[in-house]
Amino acid sequence: MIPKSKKPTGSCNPDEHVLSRRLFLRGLAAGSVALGGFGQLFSAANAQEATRRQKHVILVYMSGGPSQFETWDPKIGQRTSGPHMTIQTAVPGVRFDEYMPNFARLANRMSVIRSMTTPSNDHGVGSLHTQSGYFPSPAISAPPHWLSVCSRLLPRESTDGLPTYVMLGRPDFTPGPGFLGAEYQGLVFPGNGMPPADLPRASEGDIQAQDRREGLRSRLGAAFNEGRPAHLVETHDVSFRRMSNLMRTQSAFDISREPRRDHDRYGPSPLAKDMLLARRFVEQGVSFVRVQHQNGLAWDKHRNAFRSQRYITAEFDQAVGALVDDLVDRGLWEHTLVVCMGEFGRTPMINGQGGGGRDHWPRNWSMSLGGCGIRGGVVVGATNQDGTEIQNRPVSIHDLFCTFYRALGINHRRQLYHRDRPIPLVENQQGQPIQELF
Amino acid sequence: MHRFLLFVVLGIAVPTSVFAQAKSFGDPKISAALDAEILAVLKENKQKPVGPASDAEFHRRATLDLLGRIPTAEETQRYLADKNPDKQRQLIHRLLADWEMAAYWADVLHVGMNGRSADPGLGYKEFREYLRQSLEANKPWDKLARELLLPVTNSPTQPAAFFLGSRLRRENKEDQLDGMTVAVASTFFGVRMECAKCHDHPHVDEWKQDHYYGLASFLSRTELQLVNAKPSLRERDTGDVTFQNRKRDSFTAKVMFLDDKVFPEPKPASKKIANKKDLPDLAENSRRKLLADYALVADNRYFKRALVNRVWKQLMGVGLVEPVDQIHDGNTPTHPKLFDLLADDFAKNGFDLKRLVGNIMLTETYRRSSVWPEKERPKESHYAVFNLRPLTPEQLALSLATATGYVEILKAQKKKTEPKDLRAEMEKDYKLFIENYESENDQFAATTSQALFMTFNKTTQKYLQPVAGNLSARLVKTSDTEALARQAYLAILSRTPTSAESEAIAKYLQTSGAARDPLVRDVLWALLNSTEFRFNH
Repeated sequence: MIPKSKKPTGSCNPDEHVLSRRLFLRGLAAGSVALGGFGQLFSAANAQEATRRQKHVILVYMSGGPSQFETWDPKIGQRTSGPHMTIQTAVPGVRFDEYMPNFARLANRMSVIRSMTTPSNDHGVGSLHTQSGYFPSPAISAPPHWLSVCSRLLPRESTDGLPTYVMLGRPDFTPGPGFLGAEYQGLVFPGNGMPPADLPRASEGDIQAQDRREGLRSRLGAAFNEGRPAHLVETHDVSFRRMSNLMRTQSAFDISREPRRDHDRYGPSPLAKDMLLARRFVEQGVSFVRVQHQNGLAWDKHRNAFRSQRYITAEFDQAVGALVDDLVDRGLWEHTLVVCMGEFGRTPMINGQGGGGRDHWPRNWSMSLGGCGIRGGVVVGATNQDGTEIQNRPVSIHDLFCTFYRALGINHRRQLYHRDRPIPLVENQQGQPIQELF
Repeated sequence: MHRFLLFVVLGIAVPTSVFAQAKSFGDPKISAALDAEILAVLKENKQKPVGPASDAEFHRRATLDLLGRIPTAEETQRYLADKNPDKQRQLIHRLLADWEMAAYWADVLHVGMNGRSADPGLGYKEFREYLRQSLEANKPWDKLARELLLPVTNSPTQPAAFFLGSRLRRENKEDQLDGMTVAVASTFFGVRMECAKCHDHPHVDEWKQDHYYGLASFLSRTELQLVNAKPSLRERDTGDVTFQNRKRDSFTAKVMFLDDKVFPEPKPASKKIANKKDLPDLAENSRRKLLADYALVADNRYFKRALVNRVWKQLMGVGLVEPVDQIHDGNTPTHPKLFDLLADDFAKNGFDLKRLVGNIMLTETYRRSSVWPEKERPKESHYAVFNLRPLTPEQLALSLATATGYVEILKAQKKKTEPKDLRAEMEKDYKLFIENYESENDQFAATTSQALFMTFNKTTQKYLQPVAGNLSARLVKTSDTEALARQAYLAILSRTPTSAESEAIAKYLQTSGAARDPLVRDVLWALLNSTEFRFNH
């Protein structure tokens, strides 16, 4: 078997060893036993254990910039209204887009911010800014993704070999670990529920063969590493150990093991597969999952927007709705922060000839979050009647980040250090947690 | 006045470099002076440097730095067997004159100017070939820089239009001008002025908005045209740059260089050109030419230092000034005298890139071991010990192909037409390596995805399959395990194995219950994925 890392035993919780062995055995057993009641039983057990363990985040990133008018802040009978209708939600007086029946039903669980305001209308800048909390500038060292920060501050105590942070779907325009270094880079999965690129389906024999040659690799490398900078040589070696772990935990990310009816509930979209995978990860204890809603800029609807808007809104609603239901059912909701957002919103006016659409609009936009102690059913801020301006309570990206960290029990005024320089979690220590959400 | 000066400089530049190439690259006196400066700073910090690297290490290091690949087993054996006490200097001279050096440094320059992109866009191939030829001819840097700024359509310098032209392919006018301004400022003058775009630079007193827009004004009349789908640069004779400060007051930018030199606008051109297609390469009163004439000269303190800092970092792992293109008065170099010495020598000797590289590589500083025996490793910028550098994506791609024998096969196939550029033959592989290994902000990243790529990806694994003439095939046939270990170490780690290493391999090959061929491949895999292979050390 793989040589266990020589950590001081004081830092390990003996329970965790038992747990991880059980998880591992379960993986083997599930390979030879048909799906069904058995898998269900185990996932319930896993959910309990994971619940006991950790806080989680599932970030659904709606690249391209979702329209607030066609999601959480629709307007009725205004010059800025699009062709969609609106529906009543579970919260009296709050209406969402007609293609969001699940968000409407779950409006008491999730909350909405309708008064996000950010400076940039550029996809690249906006994506970096809204996922790092820092406005990108060549003058500062690359700020990390907030989930990399979480991986650093809320490390997962586990020996089961699963990663702490995974990214499902191609993370274009997405910050990496920045100055925190590769250790806090999310492991990239290609999307559509698929396993990481190049990872073969490994039999027990393959795993043993890999362990054997990894043993040779580290034996032969030991002499070289002596006297060389540890942060470089260790990072390299760790990446191979992680790969070995990944091979033996494949069942953790094999969504074909999920029952058919779950696949049906999440829907047929690639996003649905990734949401199912995200749930599976969180159940097994992976802390942070970033899900890219379709590779590319799916929500970026400038032209002919209303030919396709309803499909993307609906697939998003179905998949995220099913996820929230499952997190609640499995007792994970109190520990899992679910965040749905893009890099900005879209223009109030429908631009372009004929089959027009909405352009980029960072001045007021909407997003949704819930779980992990976030109060449900709240609508933070409001836009004016036709949605051209914020009417009250503008929320900055800094406020939002303070809110994320507070929900996760991280002091939002905390600083990290890079080359002996203090770097605050939130740019210039700006912003305040949104009190209404706690 | 400056026109006259330029003439003089160019006048000497060409013959000097030709002369230098024939004689030698680099001046031992300069190298000794650089070492003295490094030692002085070490002494100030009460530190002592480590001793020199082993022969094998130095050979691998120099080959990686100049050819972008590890040495072949034959090259290593030849070097190790060479008893000539002057063999280090001879090696550097041989490598600097090698055709592979031009191909590899074309990548180095390209990445420095344009960054890394798996798909750099239209005109890239021709641009890279243009750089390669320029390096092969050891074209002086001032001449090369001038061509990059003033390429001539339908001439051998047209491919240089990619440098500004790739920026002109961006979506909107503002990004185009910003892209050109930032690229010119960084590549030729070693300064980064993005911050001065929206307001006077907050941290650098030197940089005002006037400087950013002043430099932009030299470039703003540039237009991109495609001639047979190849970029070509044209220039309008009208158009000014306007900008706003934070208070939203508007200004028309002066045509002004970084040192505050302002150029008055000459009288407008005699004839109007109505059709964009008829624009000439350069307008009658060309602003781009004004910039080239004024700034790309030996006595320009920005121009002579910018490339020196980059080349130093390329070879030593850390710039004399960091970030590498933030050279300004408030950002003191770690070794100010050394920086001036090297920059002055570069400018005085016709901007001879190979001389510059030789000057650095012939120092004792460059030859130091990378092993620090004590606990606390000293700062990288002190050079008490050689800085470990991860192989770049380009170096990894070519080194993997070299180690496993793919390059040999490629060369054998091309025997009749001597290859000038191995990369061109393996562009697809390079792309994959760039996608997998390009890291943000220069930071070393080792990810699980990379481990997977090196272990299971079809492209990397094809190198480990035994194919007539490659390393894997040779090793599979070698029954003597000691000989096998020796061949594997020479080919992959560019040295001979220790007896302990040979024994470890022998023992591994005796693993019970496993076939020998996969075990041999395991040995290759283990060495190719070792830290020793991953870094230039």
